[in-house]
Amino acid sequence: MRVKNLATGTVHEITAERGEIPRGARAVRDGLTTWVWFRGETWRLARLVERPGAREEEEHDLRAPMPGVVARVLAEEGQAVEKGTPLLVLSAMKMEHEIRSPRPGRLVKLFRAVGERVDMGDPLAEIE
Amino acid sequence: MSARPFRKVLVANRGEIAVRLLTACRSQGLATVAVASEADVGARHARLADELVVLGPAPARESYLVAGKILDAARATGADAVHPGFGFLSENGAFARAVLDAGLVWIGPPPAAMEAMGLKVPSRERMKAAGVPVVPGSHDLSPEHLATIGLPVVIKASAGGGGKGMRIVRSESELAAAIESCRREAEAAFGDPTLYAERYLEHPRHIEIQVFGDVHGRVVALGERECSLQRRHQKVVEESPSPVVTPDLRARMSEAAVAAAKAVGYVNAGTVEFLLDADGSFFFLEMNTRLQVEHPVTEEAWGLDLVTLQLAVAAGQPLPDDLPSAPVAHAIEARLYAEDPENGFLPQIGTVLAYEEPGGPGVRVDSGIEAGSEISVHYDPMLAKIVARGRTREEARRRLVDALGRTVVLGVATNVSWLRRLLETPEFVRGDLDTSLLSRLEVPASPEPPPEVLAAVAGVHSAGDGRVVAAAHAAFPDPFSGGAFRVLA
Repeated sequence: MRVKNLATGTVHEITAERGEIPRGARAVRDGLTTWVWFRGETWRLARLVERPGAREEEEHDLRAPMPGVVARVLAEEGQAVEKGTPLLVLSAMKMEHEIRSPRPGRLVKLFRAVGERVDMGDPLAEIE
Repeated sequence: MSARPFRKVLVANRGEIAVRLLTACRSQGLATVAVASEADVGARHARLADELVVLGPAPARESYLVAGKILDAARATGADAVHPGFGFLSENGAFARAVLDAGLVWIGPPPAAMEAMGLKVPSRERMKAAGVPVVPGSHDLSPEHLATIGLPVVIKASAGGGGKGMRIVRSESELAAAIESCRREAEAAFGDPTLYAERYLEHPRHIEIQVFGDVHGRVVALGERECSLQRRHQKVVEESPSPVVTPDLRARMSEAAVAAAKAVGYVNAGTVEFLLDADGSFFFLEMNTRLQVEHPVTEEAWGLDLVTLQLAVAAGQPLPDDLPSAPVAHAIEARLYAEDPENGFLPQIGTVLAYEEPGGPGVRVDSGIEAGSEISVHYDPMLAKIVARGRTREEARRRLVDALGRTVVLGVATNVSWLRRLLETPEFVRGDLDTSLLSRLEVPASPEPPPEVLAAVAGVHSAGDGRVVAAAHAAFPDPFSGGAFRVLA
């Protein structure tokens, strides 16, 4: 089984078939994600489901990391972007968060306009 | 004066502060009314009160921010006093007036004092007139005049904001060029070339003084809180006393804070915020006309209960004569936020699947959550405050590090481990703090999972589908231990 550390993106291979909860740990499973607390640290580990031919969606889309409202759009469709180019600003919980391009390329499409609500995981932009 | 005894308090808030306030009211033998949005009907604060009024849908502007609904709730339940907490309507002078006009006791400052401190520029002028130090500044940019302000100065567009047209000048030789380029930028950005110069504080500390006034004209200061650790103007860790405030500086800052409060006829709990420069000079920033989020560090360090003091003052009682005049301990507070420190501190939502609070000597947790709580997009992401008290700063710090290491939140990502690592940095250990430290500080990153943690993942996955909770305690048997898994859904 392979799991992805959701904090860092690192993928870990687990060989044990039936593991056990170490002494003093807490573990909660929520669907494919397992939360483990151990000695003061907390991990979120998502099981990677291997589907033959499945496309890695994150490679193509930029998805909302949190629910919120589009406060500002900072880039235009068709524009060339670098890794880190600010694309738009989401606002939620009294705070604003800048959404940046995860890689260099061309901003093909923006899926949301100013004032529109987004849910976590909604596609925000397509970068080619 | 509207201060008079009351018997039933409506707490117009939610989360940990509503729990804190309702608990204090109960301890004083007062009847309690909670209000909740439809999303919060089963929340901790909603269950704690004698009565509950549901205000409306989850968004705050349809529930906690609707003054009319809160006044209706007070009327319907016969509450005769309102405590606003912080945030929401707590600094809204019109709401305070409406509460008073409805014949209720307002557990807070007079509306006129709230309004006087609510506007930045007029309040600054008023403080200056009252002899409270404000950051020295001037429209006269001549070198002779700037010398009286003292370098470095920041030159900015009078009409400006957001950092546009700002230059920091550290020596007189840079002045002419800075004025020239600043003027051009101000003209281009705001159509107004007028400039303003102000003393630039290089690495200031945020030090605030707790003040308290009663309706008999007495105003006292209850020491400082250092709140320099901020991320994007959001306080993260606070402590009292400050590692750098001497008894002499405390006395001078307290005197200025009391003068500030008296200048606006202040009554009840308030906080006067200052910036403290490296050379020991301090300047008025603003006054918060309410109970502060970080009030527990004052309570722990000074041995006080500020909320019951608020209740007594609102009932018309004089401040006690035996208030302490110096801190009796050191206290540090860390704010637990639903946010992901590894990914730009993005706010997080979800269901709290497991929650454990630390306890033990000198450890205090003010929390509004429990297992099963839904953390939604509608409200502030602060979940709880973990506070530790010690005889010394180092003892308080060690207790807080240990307490954070025993705080378990699963199901929603929080900053709890990051806070623990922050409190272990050499800068924090030394007390070497300033308001921009968090933007420079390298807090060690979260480690990758050790083999035991990966084994735990295999363990819960082999236990079946759905939502599974498992825990292995060393000493305490609990429903989830003994090797058994409990399937929740």
